[in-house]
Amino acid sequence: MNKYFVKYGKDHRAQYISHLDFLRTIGRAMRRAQLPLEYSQGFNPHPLITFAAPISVGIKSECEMFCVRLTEDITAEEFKERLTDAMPDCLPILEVTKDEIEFKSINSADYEIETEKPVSDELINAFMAEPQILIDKKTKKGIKETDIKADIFDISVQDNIISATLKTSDSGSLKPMLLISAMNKYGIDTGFCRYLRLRFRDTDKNVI
Amino acid sequence: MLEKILQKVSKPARYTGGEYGSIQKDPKSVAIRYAFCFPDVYEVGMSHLGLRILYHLINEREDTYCERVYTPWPDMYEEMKKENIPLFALESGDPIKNFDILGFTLQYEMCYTNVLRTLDMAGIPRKSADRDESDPLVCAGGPCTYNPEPIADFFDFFLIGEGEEQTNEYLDVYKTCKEKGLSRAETIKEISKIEGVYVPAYYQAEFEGDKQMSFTPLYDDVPKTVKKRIIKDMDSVYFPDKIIVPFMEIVHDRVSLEMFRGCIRGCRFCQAGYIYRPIRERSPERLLELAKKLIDKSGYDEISLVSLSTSDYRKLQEFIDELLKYTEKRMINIALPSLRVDNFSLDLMSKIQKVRKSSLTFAPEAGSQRMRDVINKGLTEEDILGGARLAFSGGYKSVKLYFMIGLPYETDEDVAGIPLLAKKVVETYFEEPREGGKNVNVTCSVASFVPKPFTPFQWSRQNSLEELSEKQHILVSTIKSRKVNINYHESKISVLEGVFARGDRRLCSVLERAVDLGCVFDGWSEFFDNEKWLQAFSDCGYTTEMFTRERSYDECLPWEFIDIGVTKEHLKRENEKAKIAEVTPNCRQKCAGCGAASWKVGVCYE
Repeated sequence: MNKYFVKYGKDHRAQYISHLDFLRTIGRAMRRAQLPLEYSQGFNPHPLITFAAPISVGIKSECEMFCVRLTEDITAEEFKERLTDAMPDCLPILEVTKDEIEFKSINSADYEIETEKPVSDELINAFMAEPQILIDKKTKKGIKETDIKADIFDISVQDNIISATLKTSDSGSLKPMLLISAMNKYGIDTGFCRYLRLRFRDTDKNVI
Repeated sequence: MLEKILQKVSKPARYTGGEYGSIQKDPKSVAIRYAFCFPDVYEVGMSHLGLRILYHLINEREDTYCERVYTPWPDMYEEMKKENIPLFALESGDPIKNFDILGFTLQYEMCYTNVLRTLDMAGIPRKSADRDESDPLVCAGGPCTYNPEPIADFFDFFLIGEGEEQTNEYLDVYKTCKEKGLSRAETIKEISKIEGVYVPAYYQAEFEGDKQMSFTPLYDDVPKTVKKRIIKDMDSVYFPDKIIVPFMEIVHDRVSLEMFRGCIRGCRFCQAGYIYRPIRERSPERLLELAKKLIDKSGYDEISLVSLSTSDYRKLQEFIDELLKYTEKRMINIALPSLRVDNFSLDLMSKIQKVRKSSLTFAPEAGSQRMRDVINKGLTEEDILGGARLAFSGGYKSVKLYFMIGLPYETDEDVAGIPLLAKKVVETYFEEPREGGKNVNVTCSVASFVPKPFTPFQWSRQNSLEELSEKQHILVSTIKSRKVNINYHESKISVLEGVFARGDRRLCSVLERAVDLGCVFDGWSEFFDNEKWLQAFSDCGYTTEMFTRERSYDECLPWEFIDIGVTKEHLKRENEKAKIAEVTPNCRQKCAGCGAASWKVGVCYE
C-alpha cells in the first residue's frame, strides 16, 4: 500500500489558512516534492487525500493529520524529507508513517487556550456546575440554542492557560471559540484568546 | 495586537506572509530595507508579474531586504486605525516608516488614492517636500509613471521605463550615499544622475487657464528630457526561476512567463503598444529553461504565456511543441491569453487544452470596419467571422467579444456596428446545419475608451458621461436578440481614469482632497464614489473637463519631457491617418519610422 499518514503543524502565520487553501497548498507542495499523488478514477479526477477533523481558521495546531495515496512506493522517511523541503515554514511536517491511523476513531481533541485575563479555578468549577450550558450554535439549519455541557469532556485552568478536551468527531464537534463565547456569556471575562490544538483522542481517551 | 484584529477581518491570510518562496532575511544583516508597495489588495498585487520579478531581483542582493506591502482592505484599515497599528511589511511585520526606501509600482490610475492611504497608514508625510531625514525615500515606477505629473508632489523620484537594471543602479547609489552619511536631498541628487530617474521637485510647471504653458528645469544641471529605460537583451536580463506561492487564491493563480516585451501592431489606442517599443523576444531556449524551473519550483499546475500579443511570437509553434513535451506528462495546463483568432491559434488551443473551455474570447475592439481601421486594429470583418466559424466548428457554443466605445472620430453608425457584428457572429453558427443552436451565445463586453499619453490619440477629447450614455443606449437598442448579450462598464470611473492619465500637477491637490473626503480603492466599483470626487474637484477649483478636453498639436503636454524613443512626429502622423481611416502596416511588414529604432534593438534590427 502506498498510503501515507502525515502529521503536520500550523504556526501563528498558518492559523488563518482555510481548509480549501490548505488543500491547494498541499497539492502544490506534493508537486514540488515530486511526490506523485494518486487520483480517483472517473469523470472528474481528484487527488486521493483525506483529512482528520478539519480545523477552524484562527487555531494553531501541533496535531493536524491527513492521509494520502501515491502512485509510487517510497519509505515514510523519504516522504517526510521531500515534503518538508517543499512546505512553507509555517506548516511544519511533524511525522509521516505508513501505519494505519483510524481517523474515524477520533472522539475528542485537547486544546490549550491562552486568555488575556487570568481565569480562576473557582470560576471554571462554577461554570461546569451549571446544570446546562446554553449557547447559540451555527448549524446547517441556522442558528440554534444548544447545550454544550456534554461536549466539554475535561477542563482545567492554570493562570491564563485553559486546558480543555472537547468533543471532536464525525457526529459533531465543539470549537474552542464557542467554549470561550459560552464562558463569556456566563460571566467569565477571558479577554482576547489564542487557541492551540494539541492532540486527538479516541473514545477511551487514548492519544491518537 | 495584530493577532487580535486578524480574528476580526475578512481574509486574514492577506496580512500574514509566510508563503512558500517568500524571502526571510535577518534585518540586522542588511544595509537597505526596501518596501515594495503595490497599492491594491493582496490578491491583485500578488498577481502582478513586475512585482514578482523585482522582488526576487532585489532580494538577490545580500545588502538589501525587499519586503511586500499591499493596501489593507477597508475592514483591516478600520481595525488598524482603531488600535493604532502602523502599516507593516508582510515578511518581517516591521513598520515601513523605518525602512530606507518605499518603491511603489503604479499599474493603473485608479490606485492613486491607495498610494496616499499607504503613506498615511505608514505615518509618512504625503508630500515629498514635507518629509525629513527620518522618512524613507518614496519612489515609483510602472506604466503610470509615463505621466507622473498628477502625482508629482508625492514622490521623491520616479523610475521611468523598464526597471531590471535601473533598480540595482539606484540601490548601489543609495547604499554609497548612506555609508557616506549624505542627507536625503543629497541622496536624491545622486540618484537623479541615473538615466531614467525623474525628480519632480527639480522642475517647474506653469499654467494658464486650462493649459500647462511650460515645463522647465529649475537648475542648470537638470536635463530637459528624461529618457525611459529599456532592456536590450531579454535573454540575459534577470528573470526569477522561483516564485512566491500564495495560500489564498489570487487573481492570476499560476506561473506567468513573459515571452516578449513590446508589440508590433501599433493599435492607436494602446499605450503599451507604444511605450514598450520596440518588440524584443526571449529565445525559445531561454523560455523553456525558465518554464521548467518555474513549474518545478512552484508546484503550480498551470503556466500562462504572457505578452501583448502571443500570436506574434515568431517561434510560437516550435516553442509550444517543446513545452508540451514537458507539461503533458506532468498534467500542467498551458494558458494562452492574448491570441489572435485565426486557424493557427485555434489549432494550437485545441492541442494544449485538455479540458475545452466553454467560451472563446477575442477582441475586435470596434464594431465597424471603418472604426477598426481608424484604430489600426488590422482585423477585417472576414477575419472575425472566420474566427467565429472556426470556433463554432470546434464545438464552442459561446463567444465573448471585447469592444470600446468613445473612440476618436466615432459615429453613431460605428457604435451600432458592435451589436450588428455580434449578430453576424451568431448567424455564422447557423450557416451549417448544427444541433444545439438554442444555446449559442455571443457576449459583448464594451469598455469606455480612455485616451492615454504617448499614443496617437493623446490629443483627443474624451467622451463625456452624457455622450457615453447615449452610445450605451445605441448598443442596447440597435438589435433585439436573446443570443446577444451586451455588457458595458461604469463610465464614471473611465472619465476619472482619463483625467489622471492626461492630467498635470494641479491634480495633486484634487487627489489629496479626495482622499481626505474618504476616496479609496477607486478601481473597485463598490468603493468608487463619484460624488466625493466631484466635490474634490470643485473644492480645488477645477473641473474634469479641463483634463478630458482636446489638445492641440502645439500645446505643451505634461508628459512630453519623457523620451520613449517614439517621436511626436510619428504620433501626429498616426493621428492624421486615423482621421482618414488609413491603416499602418505592422513592424514586421514595413517599418513606419516611429523612432524606436534609436534604441538599436529588437524588431528594428531583426
